[in-house]
Amino acid sequence: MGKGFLPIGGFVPVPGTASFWHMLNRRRLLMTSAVAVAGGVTLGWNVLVANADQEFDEIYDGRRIRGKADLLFVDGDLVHVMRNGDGSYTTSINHYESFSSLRDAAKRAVDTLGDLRPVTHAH
Amino acid sequence: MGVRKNQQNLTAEEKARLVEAILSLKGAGTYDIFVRQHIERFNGDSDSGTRIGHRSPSFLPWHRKYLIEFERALQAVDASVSLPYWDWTTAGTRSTLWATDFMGPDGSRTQNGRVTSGPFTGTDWPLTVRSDSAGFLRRSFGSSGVPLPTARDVQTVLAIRTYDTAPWNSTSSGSFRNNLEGFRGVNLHNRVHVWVNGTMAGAGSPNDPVFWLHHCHVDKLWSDWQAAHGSANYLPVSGTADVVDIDEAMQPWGDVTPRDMVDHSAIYTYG
Repeated sequence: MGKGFLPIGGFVPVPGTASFWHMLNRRRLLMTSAVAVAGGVTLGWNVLVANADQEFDEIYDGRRIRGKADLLFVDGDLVHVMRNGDGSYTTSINHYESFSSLRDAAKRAVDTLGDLRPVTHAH
Repeated sequence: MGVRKNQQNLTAEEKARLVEAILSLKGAGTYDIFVRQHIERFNGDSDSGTRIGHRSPSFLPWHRKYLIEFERALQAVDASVSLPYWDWTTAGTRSTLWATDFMGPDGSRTQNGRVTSGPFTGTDWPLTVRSDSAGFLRRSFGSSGVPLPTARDVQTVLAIRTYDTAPWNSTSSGSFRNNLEGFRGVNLHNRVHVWVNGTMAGAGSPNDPVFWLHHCHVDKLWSDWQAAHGSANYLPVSGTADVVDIDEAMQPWGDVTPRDMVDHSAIYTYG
């Protein structure tokens, strides 16, 4: 099991409690694994949280980062994104790292790009 | 047959000849063909589909063949040149590797990591095949917060006896290949790309000539592991979807199998 997935049969914090938010921050939840939704009670908030981290449109370090359905844009330019076997993300800008959310991948791409633009078709 | 040496043991002349050969390939357009080959392979490799050059068992034989072809191209320019290896467990930020007569220095933090001196700058080194808008080489040593691997890290990985494990991708655990490549466990190879940062962090990483010295060391570690555990240990053997079995041909060459790459002693040795 890859890191980032919910524990099975272990302690599952109740949504809205302090331990719940602590767990969110700690694990940066992913939602695509069948395992993650195996416990029916976790389904609702799990999907909710996943959406917040995978679909976003915000300013980070002066750059507009937008994520939707595994597509990532920095200031409107498409960044090549790959979904990994454990649900994590890798981009063409940081091709040797994996990120547990698309938002994390976006921020790291901006950190690495500085004032540069991503180029999807390398010519 | 060539002898691949530790870069810190090269003579000044050997360094100069290597740099000149690399610049010659760049000027002829040959170098960028290699960069394009790497980007295309990288973008085509995925955990859930075909995977050949990365995140798969053939990561090591694919790059062994890739380096052999690059070394042959260098030798067509200067027959005396062999690729040296960068042992990052002993050569860090202060290594002569980064001297202005060799690989050139770290990038400028005030110029977004641009490398501003050494042989690989200016009109001698325009980046034309790439994944961002920078037309120049960039480095930012250690800015990611990840340190270079230690000798102890290397020993831990070399002690893993199983070449690779199902599901034969970036999630494989207990796998020598994946610990060396770096998606699980100790992480040797990926981490060094991230440490150099800038150009080396992206799909166009061969645009930084230190790419070849880094991968030469990765290849040497596979060679060391082979010597310790037996040379025919490549896995998987047969019938594995999306993955190159030991007797299947690797793209883009089409006529080279992992088994062909197991023994490199007729082509080069490590000195």
